[in-house]
Amino acid sequence: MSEQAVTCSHVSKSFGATRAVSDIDFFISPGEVLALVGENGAGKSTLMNMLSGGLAPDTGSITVAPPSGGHGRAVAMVHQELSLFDNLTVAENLELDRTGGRSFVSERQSREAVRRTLDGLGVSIDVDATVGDLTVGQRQLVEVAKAIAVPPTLLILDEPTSSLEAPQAELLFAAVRRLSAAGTAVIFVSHRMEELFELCDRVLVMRDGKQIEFGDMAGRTRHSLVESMVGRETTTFYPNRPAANLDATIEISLDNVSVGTALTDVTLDFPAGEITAIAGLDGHGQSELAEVLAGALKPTVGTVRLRGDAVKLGSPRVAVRRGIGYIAPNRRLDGLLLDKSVSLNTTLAAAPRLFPTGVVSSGKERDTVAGVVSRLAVKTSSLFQPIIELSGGNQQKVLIGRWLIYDKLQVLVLNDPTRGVDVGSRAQIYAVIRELAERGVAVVLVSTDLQEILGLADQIYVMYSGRITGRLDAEGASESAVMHLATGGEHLV
Amino acid sequence: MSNLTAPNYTGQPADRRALGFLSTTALRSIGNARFLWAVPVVVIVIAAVVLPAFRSPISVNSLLATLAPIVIIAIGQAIVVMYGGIDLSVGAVAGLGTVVLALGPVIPGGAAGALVFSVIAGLVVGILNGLGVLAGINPLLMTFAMAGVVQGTALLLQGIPESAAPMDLIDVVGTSIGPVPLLAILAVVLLVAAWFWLSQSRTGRVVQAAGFDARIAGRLGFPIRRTTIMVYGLSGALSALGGLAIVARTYTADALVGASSVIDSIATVLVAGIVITGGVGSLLSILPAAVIIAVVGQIITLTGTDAYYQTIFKGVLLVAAMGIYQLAGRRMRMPWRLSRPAIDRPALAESTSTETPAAKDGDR
Repeated sequence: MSEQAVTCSHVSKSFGATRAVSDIDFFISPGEVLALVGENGAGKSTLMNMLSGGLAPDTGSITVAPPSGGHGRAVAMVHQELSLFDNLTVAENLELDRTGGRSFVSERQSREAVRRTLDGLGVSIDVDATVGDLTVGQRQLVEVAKAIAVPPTLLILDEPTSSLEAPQAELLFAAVRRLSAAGTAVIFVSHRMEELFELCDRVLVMRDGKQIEFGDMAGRTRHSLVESMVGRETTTFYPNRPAANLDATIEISLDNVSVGTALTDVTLDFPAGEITAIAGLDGHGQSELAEVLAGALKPTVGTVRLRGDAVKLGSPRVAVRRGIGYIAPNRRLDGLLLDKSVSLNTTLAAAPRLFPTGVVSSGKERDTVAGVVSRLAVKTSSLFQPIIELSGGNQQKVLIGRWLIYDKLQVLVLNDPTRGVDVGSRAQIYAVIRELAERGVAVVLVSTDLQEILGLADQIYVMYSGRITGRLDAEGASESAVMHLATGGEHLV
Repeated sequence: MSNLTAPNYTGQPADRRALGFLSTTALRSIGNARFLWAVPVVVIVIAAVVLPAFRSPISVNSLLATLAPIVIIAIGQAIVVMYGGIDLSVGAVAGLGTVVLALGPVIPGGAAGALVFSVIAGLVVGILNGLGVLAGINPLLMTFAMAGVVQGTALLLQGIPESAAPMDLIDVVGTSIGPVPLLAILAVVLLVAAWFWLSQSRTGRVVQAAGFDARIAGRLGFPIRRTTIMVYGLSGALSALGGLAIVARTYTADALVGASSVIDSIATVLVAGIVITGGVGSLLSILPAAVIIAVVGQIITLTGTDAYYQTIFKGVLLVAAMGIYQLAGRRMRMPWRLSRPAIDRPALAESTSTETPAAKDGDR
């Protein structure tokens, strides 16, 4: 076994009562590229953190061979979230990361070394550019350059292509191939299946923390991979779509809306009773669009219309009074009062309607909240448990439940509603979203999870670089058609 | 492919030949502050033309003597601010420093021993500040509370009989070379050394990086504990040294002598363009900023205007400087409320709101 680059034997890790990773057992030989696949919440992040040394496994062991050159680090990881400092230049960022050496920096040597690393990656980025001035894609490449400046034994790439355009992604693949040819083992995580088939030799499938499959990539099909990832027929995961209602009234619409450079000339209608998805790669204006609808962001140009009437949504408060609910992507920062009870967090939005006199009736409150908790199967020890003690999925259920009991709700804007939510909770959340739509609510679903969009939505709009690049009927839409539009391609139809 | 090359940035391009050994960010920060250097020049020229007394060697000497403590204390403050913190105890520590200097006749080692003890006292207070911040106490509160403790201690020590203003020490460090006080030279030397350390040393880079985004720095495994203690410790030691400069100028050792040092140092640092959220700015800009404050003080003294106007001026200057930098496109936010890193330049289209820190609770 000693010739393996990485050996991971029977590794498990729990957080409290949740078993995040259980009994994972695999190895990677030098020069191999392993695809690590699984849905959000399948335990990939926990496993990667253990491999990179950020977390210690509860049981089992991880062995990583020392790096070939004798210096540098054994495991280098490129996180989804970048670890660059915007106030420093490219060269200074890479220099910061270099281990060992003198206590004062030699600028000439440092610039020269960084230039060589970037050249090796095939990227022409000025080493003296301040990182804050680079585009997200360029930063991603700098991040990769940082990880491979000294070839590690194991390179972990967590969704490295999520913000890269096709030619940049090609550069990355070429660099990965070069590294693996030189003996570095690579773990590659991506939601884009075609990349996995292009790049990887082996595959490890995880589901609910367990190892489902480990073997050669050759012979797999996209379909078989998805099936073992999801573990059931993908279609049953999502609620059934009702027949399209062609004469649905338009609940809310955007009329030539632009916001700075983030959103350009967007005109969209959101019909009542339908789930309209906004797809696109991360950071192409979808978030801004959601915030405009929710009143959190003012359009620089253009108007928002509610049932045909132009409205000024000066603040989220105004929007809520008009019947527009919003679920922000970061529930901890923007959605929940973390130290407060499940009960209080649930009734937050509906309180003025539930208790018109301004006095909270505890009986009515209990009944309402208990209804939500049982409807969404929220796992909580009591209605008065502080919400911070709940798991991410259960917190998200409370956020959705908040709008379920708001009888005035006409528009619900969901911005990445299932980020960090486990598979079981997702199904319940999807069911409730569909139920709201059937109640006549116009649902706007912003998400970077393509499966979710294809499974849940009735119609899909795709954004690229702040513009709507096309519309697709969800029925029969394919991942590649969406990706084509999301990467700036022309409309196929 | 077109956007693979970096965009043109509007900073001073690094002069690769002559100054290639200096960090690009450091050079760019100096370039960004070039207009700031023009302001004291203009003020000095006007003052020299209008007020003949301003030109006299005695006036120049007194101006530079005033400048020394402001610069020395502001260096420490600037390092802390670059690290994303703030030190409100600098005034109290300067006061403590002077009181310890006055203990010369009582403690072993005499005046020289008192000088060493004074700096050590400042260092200890600073390290305590650093430990408090590491324990999770907001720097604003930690150093504010520490100011109270230190000032009380200094007032108690002041009551020790036989302590006296250390005249023999003042005679040595208070000397001038021509019209230039020794301490003013020391202040400038310290400033340049601190600037070089912050921009070129590995620790200095960590200060800049962690000051800009402590979360990423923690994740990358930077030595946060050591750096925090070092940063606050330096500020404490420099504040005590500032106390020495105050004693050399005023001939009084008093616990309250550093009362104006807090606003002086914060005003200096912020006028210098060092961003309150940390990580951005140039220490060298402290010099023009301090000169502005000292020269206006000198003008107020020379014209016989009520000295209280000086305090009003500092407050107004601070707010005005913030307004100007705000207009210049810098985003300032209070660090203790910072939820995501501030970006020095207007954000690019791709780097706007969707880049919020990913939910850490998820994906287990």
